[in-house]
Amino acid sequence: MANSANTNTVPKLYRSVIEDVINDVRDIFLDDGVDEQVLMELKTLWENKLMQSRAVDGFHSEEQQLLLQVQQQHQPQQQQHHHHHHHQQAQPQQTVPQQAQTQQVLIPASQQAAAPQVIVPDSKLIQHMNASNMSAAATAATLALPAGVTPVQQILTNSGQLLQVVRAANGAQYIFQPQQSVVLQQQVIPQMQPGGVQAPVIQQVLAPLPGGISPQTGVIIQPQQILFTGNKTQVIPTTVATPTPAQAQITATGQQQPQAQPAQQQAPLVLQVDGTGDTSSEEDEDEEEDYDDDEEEDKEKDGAEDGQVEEEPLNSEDDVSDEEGQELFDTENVVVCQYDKIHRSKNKWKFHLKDGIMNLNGRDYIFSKAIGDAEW
Amino acid sequence: MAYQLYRNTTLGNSLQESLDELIQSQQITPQLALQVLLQFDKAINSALAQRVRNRVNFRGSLNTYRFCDNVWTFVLNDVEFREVTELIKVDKVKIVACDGKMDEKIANQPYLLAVAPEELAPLTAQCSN
Repeated sequence: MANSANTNTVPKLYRSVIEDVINDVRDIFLDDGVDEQVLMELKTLWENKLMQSRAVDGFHSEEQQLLLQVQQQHQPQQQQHHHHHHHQQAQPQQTVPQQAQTQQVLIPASQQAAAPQVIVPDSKLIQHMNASNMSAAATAATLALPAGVTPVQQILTNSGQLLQVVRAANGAQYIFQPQQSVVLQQQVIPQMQPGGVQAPVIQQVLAPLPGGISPQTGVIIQPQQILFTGNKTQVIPTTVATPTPAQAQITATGQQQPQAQPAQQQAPLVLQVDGTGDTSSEEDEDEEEDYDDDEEEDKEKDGAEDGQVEEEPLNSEDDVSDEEGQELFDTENVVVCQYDKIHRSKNKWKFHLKDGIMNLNGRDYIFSKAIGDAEW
Repeated sequence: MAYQLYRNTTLGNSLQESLDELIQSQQITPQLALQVLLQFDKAINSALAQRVRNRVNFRGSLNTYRFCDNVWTFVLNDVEFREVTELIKVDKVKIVACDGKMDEKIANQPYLLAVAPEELAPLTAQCSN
């Protein structure tokens, strides 16, 4: 097969490098007093990102099974997590295109229809929540549920809360918590748009902080936009539909909504005053420039369109960038290697390269030797 | 010390991002992350040197070239990369190449120190013939 040589060697090599690195740093981790769990977490994060990048095909889906068997012998505790993890990761390739909109998507697709209760697909989340009070590691963790999964799933979070995922007819999914008592420290803020939301809406769920610390507020959601105003948030990409039973329960938790909505509305209200609608004279503009700078930071954070509209006319004149090098994947094709010999004769260059990793058209290639010619 | 060249690859960047996340969540220290990256450098360098055995040819037009600190950086246009099995065409590619002749042994060769004469005697006293 034409592509078999490269697609076989690259994943294998990456896998072996990962193994080597993880094993070599295990001692360093232990010397530093860092738990083995963190090491496993590093490995999982690393592998997930590699899969997400899609630079490598068929990455470690099979090897993972072998490793699981090996790990079963070593760490029985880990087995469950990895077991789920494996099942979940078996699906990521299918769901990656769906999740293309969200960044840093971890795709723990839980397909265990047999078990009505599924431990939160991402075992890391549990550990994160426990260990680090929902720290910023959660920012990279997103729960995504593929469309083909069973309609109703209950996800058990670490603190025993049940997140119920309901999949409506139009393929919209959302997550809400049926237990209201525990919601006090959580804010689930779905964007309810009757009539069916076509655009995916991203919800932020601020998990309960064990210490009773007040969760960060300022969750702002707009379709197809991720808005972070807190340092540590967990993003759950879902689409919101409006089935009535869910509405009832969400409005039950809607007590939290008014809290968020004023915060949500405050910023836009203020922004609009100073934004594009501002046609005052220059004197006023000078005074408001400082104000605008702060606002613009918020604008950029919130992704509000007002700020961007104001900036576009200013910057559009500066835009002289040429658009060459735009490949299918819009990646800059890079070759990182070592040179044996570089030779030039008049304007004819010859390259003798070795031990290189190439990223071309979004995919990774490797060579031990490369010889090239070019004219300058 | 092995080249840190390969940190800006898919493999290296995903490792750095993962380490950054762990630092953010304060599960590891930046110092530890640095150690991991150094270990990664060693691992990837040796893996490439030993476990990869294939050749690639390429041809294109040279747009820019730079040689600084013993590092070549080229930008080529309209390049065809040819491996035995497949052909890859790109409009633009950047090649960053470190000196392949430098390996750890050469890099770690001892170098001269300037020593004051009065300090020299005790040092030479330790040397055997």
